[in-house]
Amino acid sequence: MASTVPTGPEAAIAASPSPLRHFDWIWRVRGEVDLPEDQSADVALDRLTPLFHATGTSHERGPATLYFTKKDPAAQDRMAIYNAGLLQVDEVPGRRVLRYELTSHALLACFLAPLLFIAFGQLAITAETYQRAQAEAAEKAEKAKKKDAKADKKKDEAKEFPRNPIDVALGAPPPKSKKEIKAEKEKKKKEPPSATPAWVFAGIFALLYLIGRFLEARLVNRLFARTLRAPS
Amino acid sequence: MAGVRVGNRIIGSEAPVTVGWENVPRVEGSPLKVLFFTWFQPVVLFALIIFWYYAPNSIAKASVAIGIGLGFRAILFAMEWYFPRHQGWNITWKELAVDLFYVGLGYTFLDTIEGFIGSDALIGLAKEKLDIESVDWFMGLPLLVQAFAITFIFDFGQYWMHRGMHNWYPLWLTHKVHHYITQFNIFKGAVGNPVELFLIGLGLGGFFDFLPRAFLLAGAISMGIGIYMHLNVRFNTPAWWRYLFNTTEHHSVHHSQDYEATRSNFAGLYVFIDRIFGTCVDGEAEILGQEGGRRLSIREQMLQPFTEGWQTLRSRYGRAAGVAAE
Repeated sequence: MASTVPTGPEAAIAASPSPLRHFDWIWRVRGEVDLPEDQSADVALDRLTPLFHATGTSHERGPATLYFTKKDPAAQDRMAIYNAGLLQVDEVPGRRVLRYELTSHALLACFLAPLLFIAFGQLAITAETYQRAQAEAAEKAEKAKKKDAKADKKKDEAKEFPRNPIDVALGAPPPKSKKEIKAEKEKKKKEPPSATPAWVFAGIFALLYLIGRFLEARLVNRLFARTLRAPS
Repeated sequence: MAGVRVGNRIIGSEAPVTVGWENVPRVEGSPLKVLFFTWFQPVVLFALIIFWYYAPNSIAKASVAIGIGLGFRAILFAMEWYFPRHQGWNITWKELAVDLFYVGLGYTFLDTIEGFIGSDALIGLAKEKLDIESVDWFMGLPLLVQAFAITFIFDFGQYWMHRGMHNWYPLWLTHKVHHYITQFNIFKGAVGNPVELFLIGLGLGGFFDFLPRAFLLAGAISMGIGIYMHLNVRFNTPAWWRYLFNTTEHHSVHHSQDYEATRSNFAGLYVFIDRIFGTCVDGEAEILGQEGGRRLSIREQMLQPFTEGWQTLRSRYGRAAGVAAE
């Protein structure tokens, strides 16, 4: 059975606006699977239809085509990453093939996520710079206020962290002195503001995208192929 | 569904919940496997405590704690992969990507915001404005007592905040979306609306001074107990542990689709707080979520508390105003 040009909702999937066509591979998965010999388009789509009976999935059958959409699919839905898709059986010389084109907002979001985390990183650096300036100003004001209270300062410095006798008996290391802690804080102040977690997550999402784009394309191809070839 | 009576309540009348430890399955297999899954949790907790108690000052620092935390999570993630508690909770690429988004949000954007309006920032401001000092007599106590105090003060506050979220509609709006998760994994604790994550992170610990090492010990204890709450791994958790600490089983009951069951096991770490206040239900559930297990998108997680709150306000006061105008 030959395919027909899709009309209705499936047309939206089949025909990307031309400028997007060049990079819609980011969120679209295309592929094809050979139908077993002598399997008609109707039989092939009959076999695939149960895949679209999952929660939150609706589908429409046309002549040699199947269009589906998904909303809030279950976590374990094997096609959960796709929002919509068109499956179409085409005749090519000597065989029939199932061609599909699936749209995934999850892939697009994952592709863009590194940009979001880079923005969070910039925000964190700006916030830290601001907080440091505020803390420095407050420290200066405090110092000016306490200029005359030198005795208090000496008293504060002399007062070290207490150590409970039980901890002494059990051999826990003594706490750091206040001088050491102060030196560490000063050292940290000299380091430039950092947003390491944001850069790490930007990297994680870039990697996740690459994994997802290849893994999910493979998995859906395997799912269609196995469903078509499963013994009836 | 008949449900099971627990105190004055019927648990499991709306959705399946297994009540009672005797009905909860145990890890089976070779003696080595059973031994491993029986002693894993206590041994790890004990090892963490010993490490942070005796680690020299050059090692006892936050960066090492972060490294250990990441390493431990990686081990548990691998265990979820090879020894899942429920196949229906298996990790998928989409679940991983979505959950890591929330984890990332916590480590980046929310962390930045908390620097300005988190409980430590607010308590610092209150102490400065009111000219009050922190209570510092805890510092003279043994380190382990201090560490327990840090975790208990936070968990006791969290118990009431969490219980409030299940009993007061405005707070429930923020927390409800977290209850739409339909499966557990190591990252699920991070899933939720940012307002809820901010509220649940509020604590009064900033009013008290503790030794720096006590904070590291408290962090290790919190991780050693609390990390299993959303984990998809089954353990033969010892009875004493289940009596004192929150477990995956307890928390799965809290996340079940049964309304009465969700109003139990509110504490984050110490389930004995629930026992004291009569809200503990020992058992487990596999079918989780709200609205029959509908999965929420990230967009809905972010917006639903506000859109639903606005709709409720409109239906309550908008109509009243309309009637009054007539």
